[in-house]
Amino acid sequence: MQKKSIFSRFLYSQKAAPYVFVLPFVLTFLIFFAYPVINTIMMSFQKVAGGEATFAGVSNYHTLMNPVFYKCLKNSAFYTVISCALMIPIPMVLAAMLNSKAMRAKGFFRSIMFIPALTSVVVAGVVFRLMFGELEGSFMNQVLAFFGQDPLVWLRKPVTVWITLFILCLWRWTGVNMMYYLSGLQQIPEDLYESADIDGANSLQKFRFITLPLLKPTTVYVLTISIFGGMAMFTESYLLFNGNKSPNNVGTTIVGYLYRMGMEQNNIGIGCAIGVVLLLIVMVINVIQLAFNGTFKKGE
Amino acid sequence: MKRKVISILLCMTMVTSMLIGCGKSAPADDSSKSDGGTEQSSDGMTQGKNTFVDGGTELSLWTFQELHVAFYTEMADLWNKENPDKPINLTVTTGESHSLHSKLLVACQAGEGTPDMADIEVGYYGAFLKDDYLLPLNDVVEPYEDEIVMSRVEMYGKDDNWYGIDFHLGASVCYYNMDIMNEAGVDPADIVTWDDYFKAGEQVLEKTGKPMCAVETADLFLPQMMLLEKGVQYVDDKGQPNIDTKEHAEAIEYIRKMIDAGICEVAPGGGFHMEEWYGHLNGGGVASLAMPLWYMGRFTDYCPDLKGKMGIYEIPVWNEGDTREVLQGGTGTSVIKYTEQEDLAKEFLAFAKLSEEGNKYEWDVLGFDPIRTSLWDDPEITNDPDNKFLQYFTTNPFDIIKKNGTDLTAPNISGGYSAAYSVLVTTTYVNAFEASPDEDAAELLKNEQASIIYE
Repeated sequence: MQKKSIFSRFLYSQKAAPYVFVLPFVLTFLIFFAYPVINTIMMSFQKVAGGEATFAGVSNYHTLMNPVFYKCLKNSAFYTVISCALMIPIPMVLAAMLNSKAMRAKGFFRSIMFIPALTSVVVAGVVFRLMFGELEGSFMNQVLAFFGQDPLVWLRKPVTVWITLFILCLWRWTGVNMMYYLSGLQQIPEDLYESADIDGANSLQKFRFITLPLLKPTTVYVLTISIFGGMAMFTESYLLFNGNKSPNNVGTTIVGYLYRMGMEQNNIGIGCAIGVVLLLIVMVINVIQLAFNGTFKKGE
Repeated sequence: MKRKVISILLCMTMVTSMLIGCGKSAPADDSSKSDGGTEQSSDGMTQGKNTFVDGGTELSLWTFQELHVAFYTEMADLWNKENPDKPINLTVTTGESHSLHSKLLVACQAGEGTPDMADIEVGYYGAFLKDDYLLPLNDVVEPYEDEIVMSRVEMYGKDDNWYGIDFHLGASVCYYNMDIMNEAGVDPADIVTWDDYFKAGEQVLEKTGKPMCAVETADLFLPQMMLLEKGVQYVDDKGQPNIDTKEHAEAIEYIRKMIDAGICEVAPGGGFHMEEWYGHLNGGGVASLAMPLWYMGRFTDYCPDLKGKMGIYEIPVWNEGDTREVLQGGTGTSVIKYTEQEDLAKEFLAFAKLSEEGNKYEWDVLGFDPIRTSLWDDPEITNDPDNKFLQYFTTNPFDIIKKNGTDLTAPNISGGYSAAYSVLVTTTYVNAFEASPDEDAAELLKNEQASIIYE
């Protein structure tokens, strides 16, 4: 028998095939993820200027110990905590309502809730900036006037800034999280509810003892992406304040600060250091959170 | 056999689909001929071209201001007419200011993908100057040296080299709403010092109930003007950020005093380039505004109701006899060091920005006060009845420019200016005028100085 060429042996090899099939993903991962991460960590110890990089020890991290960075950290943490607190219960309840048999016009509400997620954040940010303008004629101030309130300077005072940011966040992401919960709800077997009915459980008890526990995988997933999304929030704050300039840094996030340092002020080294700190924070939070939720336990 | 063919096909599909992502799509418009005009490019940026000629050298330029596109392309056509031996085919790309500056900075850091020339706004300029991304323009500026206001060129420089040329002189003036002034019985021509201005402000407030002026929290024009009058900069001689100065504290205290007296307000929107502010200004909500002359264009564009009501006068100063003009704001156009057409780009730039033709265009169309002194005495320019800016205002801005001559103070934007600017417009003035108006100004500036990151 004629010996097959290396190429065809490779092509029919049972051992090589799996590697060939995962190769695209591995390559994308290495080129677009692993390489930049490693390079970022390296650059965070360098002073990068004029296309040249010189080793600078931990001076970039030392520079980061300043009140503005702490403030941005605090802003991002606050945003993450509150947005998780809002973005899990509200979509869950809405999804449960949409999933209920008693609900009318489900398709209509489902689309309505999801439409904001399809708009570009850029457009939404600009529209929100105009809606929350400080003149009497702006949309939100007209709403206030309808209730007999005085107009507010929305985007220059801390409390109203956060209200605006959370309204934007809710408006935009509720539909997405609701979709996750809807798909989670539809996987819960109907017979569980039926047997609960036989046992005489009311709807609140059914929600508490059947829906909530069985939605846990979905909740873990939503929580993970919400934590990451919250810590990495940038576009909303960038657009709401017309280019990363929130007054007194009320709405400047870690990524906003990274952008300001790295891109606007040409301190790429410091920018990389901020990126590394952000990566560490997000990783630690998520590992704790996943461990807490039992993701690493075997046999589940 | 069939299986082999299918598997090879599948592999090929996989490989090509991966490569598509990496490949650069060929430019749709590859023709060397163009009739000029603008077009939309794939990434949302607009492009403008001059009338391309055969054998012309390709040059590219980035600007953040759409109005500048026509200026450059028209200048390129004029250049080709006057220099048939070295014609250029100029492509001007424009996009949103913030993202364009970031793109330019990233391209400079990478050393690839930069245009030959670029407009760089004064607040961003220091970041480009710091790492030597720009080429000195001394040899092309020197022939014009006696005909222009040099402090405007010198400000875009370091170590006796000049790197950028501006569109305009950027002389600061005071715009008065004459309806309000007349109602209050104040003649702006009588206001010389800040104390006069203060007193006039009290009178305006009493008679009309309107504030005399406004201060920005998201920009720095009023405090910077007060500082430049005192000859003080935001950076020291070595380019280190230095906002913690006695004079700066004095300027802040003075503005606070005006706010407390009700004759100064925080500008709606926080800045003089905000939608809210334009509406407020156009509605006659404020009696006066101290800004550079290039702000005339904002009046003609955004404040149609004030036409024929605004007078331009000299700015108030600290002491009688001080020069009543400083230079503020601006955009330096520079040649990026990665260009392959260094000499041609520099020559064209100087021609566009410093020649008589270029300055005439800038004044007529863009409303920029000319950097060339020869135009100040040209009655065809200064008394042009068709000029929309001269028609709009009740007084002639050239009177102020001529009176104050060419020895003018410009901002020092070298070294840490960008870093200082960023802190000033995000925290310092918000704290000073809005968030903590009672904090001692010197103490506040000390804290603000400590938060500037520059190395």
